[in-house]
Amino acid sequence: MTGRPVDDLLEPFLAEARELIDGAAEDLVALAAAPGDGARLDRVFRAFHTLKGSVGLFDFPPFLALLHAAEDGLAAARDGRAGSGDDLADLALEALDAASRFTDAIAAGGALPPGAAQEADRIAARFRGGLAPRAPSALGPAEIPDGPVPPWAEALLARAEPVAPGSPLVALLYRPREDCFFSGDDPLGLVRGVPGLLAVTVAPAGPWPADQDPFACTLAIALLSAAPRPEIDAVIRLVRDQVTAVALVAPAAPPPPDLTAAILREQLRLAAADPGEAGAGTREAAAATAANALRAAGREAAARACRFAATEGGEALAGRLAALLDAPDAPSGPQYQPDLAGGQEAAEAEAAEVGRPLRVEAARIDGLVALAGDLVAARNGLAHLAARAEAGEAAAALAPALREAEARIGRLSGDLHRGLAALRLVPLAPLFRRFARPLREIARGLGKEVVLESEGGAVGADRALVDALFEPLLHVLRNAVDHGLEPPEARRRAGKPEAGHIGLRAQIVGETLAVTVSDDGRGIYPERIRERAAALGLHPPGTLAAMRDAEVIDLVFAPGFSTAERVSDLSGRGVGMDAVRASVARLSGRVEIESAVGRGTVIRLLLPQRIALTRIMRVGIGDEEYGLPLDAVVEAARLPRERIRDLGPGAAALLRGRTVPILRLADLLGLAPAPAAPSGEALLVVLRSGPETIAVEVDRFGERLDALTRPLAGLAATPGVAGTTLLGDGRVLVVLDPPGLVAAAVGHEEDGR
Amino acid sequence: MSMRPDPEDPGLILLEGVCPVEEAESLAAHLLANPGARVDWRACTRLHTAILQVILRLRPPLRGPCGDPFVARWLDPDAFT
Repeated sequence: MTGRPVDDLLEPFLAEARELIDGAAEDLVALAAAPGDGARLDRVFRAFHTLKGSVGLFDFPPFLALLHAAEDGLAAARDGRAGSGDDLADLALEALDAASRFTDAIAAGGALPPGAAQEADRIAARFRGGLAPRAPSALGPAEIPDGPVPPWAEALLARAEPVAPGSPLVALLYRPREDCFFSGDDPLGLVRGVPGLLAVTVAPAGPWPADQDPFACTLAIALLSAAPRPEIDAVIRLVRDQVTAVALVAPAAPPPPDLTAAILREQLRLAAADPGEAGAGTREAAAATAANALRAAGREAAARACRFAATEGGEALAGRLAALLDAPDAPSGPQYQPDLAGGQEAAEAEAAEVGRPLRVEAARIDGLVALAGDLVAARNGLAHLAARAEAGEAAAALAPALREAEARIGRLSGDLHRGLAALRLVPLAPLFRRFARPLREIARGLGKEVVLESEGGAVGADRALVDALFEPLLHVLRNAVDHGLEPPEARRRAGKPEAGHIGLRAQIVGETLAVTVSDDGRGIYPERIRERAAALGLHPPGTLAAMRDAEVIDLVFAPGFSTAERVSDLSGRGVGMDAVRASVARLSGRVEIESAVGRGTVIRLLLPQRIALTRIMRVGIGDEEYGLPLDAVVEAARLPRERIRDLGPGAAALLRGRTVPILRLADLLGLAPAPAAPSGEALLVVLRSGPETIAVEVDRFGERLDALTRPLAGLAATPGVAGTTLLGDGRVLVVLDPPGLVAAAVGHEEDGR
Repeated sequence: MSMRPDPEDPGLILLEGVCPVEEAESLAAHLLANPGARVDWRACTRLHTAILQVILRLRPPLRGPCGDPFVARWLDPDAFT
């Protein structure tokens, strides 16, 4: 992977690979919903086949092996030699997931990620195993570096349920934040959703404090899972910072001692003899005997597994007993692989972003080149004007031509910026596809069925925005499945299809990107929210009673509202919704909710599609200058002071037939009063925000300009400030936020009364 | 309905149905005020982490098995007694 010619091939390969992977993933998700679709299956097969051919040009044997096995498995399904249902779709998606990560790693560092060989082997083995769930890995323990296994992970292995020796396992130590209950987390609730569990322990993280607060979480939860790492990551994504992960390889379970084995064999015979309902008594007795024998042999986890299997039926118990008796005899201690996922993954992702090639249609580039050409022509016009000025032409004569040149350059540079910003727009489809798997996992963990239907994947938005949308959207989707959708039997009773329907839609309305998550679940009961809000003291009961239902439902976003699981259980929604609203607000967006009892809930995320140029009006107060976004400015007016009526603490004037309160901008911003005596004329900027209209008095009106407004982290908390923009002379102009000003003005008025 | 004293046996607290986070405080208060109190969690269908934490810390005698399948399946009853 070093020679130049190979590098030249690499870039087109990476672009092609990403397209093939995205396309195949889309087909697979559809295939999972309609397993009989032969054309789609064929397309997926061809995508793997083409990708395999391309990967063969380079030296990545594990990548090639992965694709080869997937191609074989898909060919078997296509020819009817194997089923093409859920299992195949899941496994093929897993293979695509791996392929996508391999591709990213190659783009970032020219090599496969650590552990790629093991992962490829594991997936390939499952394809070869005729899609049997988790065939034992072909991987030899020698491939894994030795290392100490942390004691907590060792304790988990000791109590884990039997699993094929050599299978890759993941051990997690989850130390929830102490205040996690307040943000609506239920750490065990999260662990319930982890696939492939083999063992779980819950213990105090340290000595109990003398006056333990029941609402402070001081537990350490350890768990062991046989599921692939990405599936686990999808579940723990939101608490990633609180989790330590260790990759392990399952040690060989010692075969049960002879006496225990004899007892188990006897119980297996009993359980298998009568697996039906009639055998329930026999089954329970057999399970109890087996469990006692196992416990006596120090196999606590296996004992619990037997008891649990008995509740699931005769076949489950027989299978469990047979597995225990089958435990192969391969002496090997637990092996350890350091967890490389954390920091390195982030660094790789960043590197991938920097070096990521952008595919752009030629026509768009041509348009931008033409714009740049126009800009050069406009600059030449300016040079001509400069020459005329140098030749001594009067400023007044030159001014109109200069203004015209300025306007033209302004228009062209605006167009150029918009065109370039559009290049950064990426379609939402890949983001939407990332939800398919976690959502199925979540639903499966809850015993629910869900159909995710997405629409508008072709809609484009700024790449940074698309990346930042993953977490809030996952949160909303998880809520919809967990709390919005009823369990299947409740849905049946309500006359709905058993599988819940979740819609994920994107559309552009003007300059706004609207992403909508809808469910056809139970909806939110406004009365329950009123009760809860009253109990929490968010509003007095009288106020709540007077609020419209829509306003009441919006309270699920109130900070602190959704800490209680009960709310979500009764009302259908609530866990951590304030976090969703906060992260959307950080993207300069907002969240809306609508709900109909019994019919479902719709949550809409409204975001700026791109970082936009805003037209700004400069105003001066004393020595200071500020910008006001023109879209909120109704008009700028000069008003004789005698027309301003003093109303005690405030002032107002009749403007265009309506009374408008007037406030000094200097007062609103907390600036020192202007030293100069007020002139006979007041300069007013009339601002509108929603239904409110106010006029702010300034000392000077300034020019209007197009500016790129950036929110400033440090100023985010300052009410009335939207952000800053850089002026032509290098100075920074603070851009005000009219809704914030209006709110502050309304507050002023009320304070004054 | 989630936490209530057994009408026939005031020393026994019944956990029933979904036991949400808010009940952690009242359960802890009750167990601290009545040191001999026992807990019957057979009818509990879903236990919040906070409730489990109270049980883990104050270790009331438990009447089980726990009705929450996850707890019954994965957590060692010995850890709670």
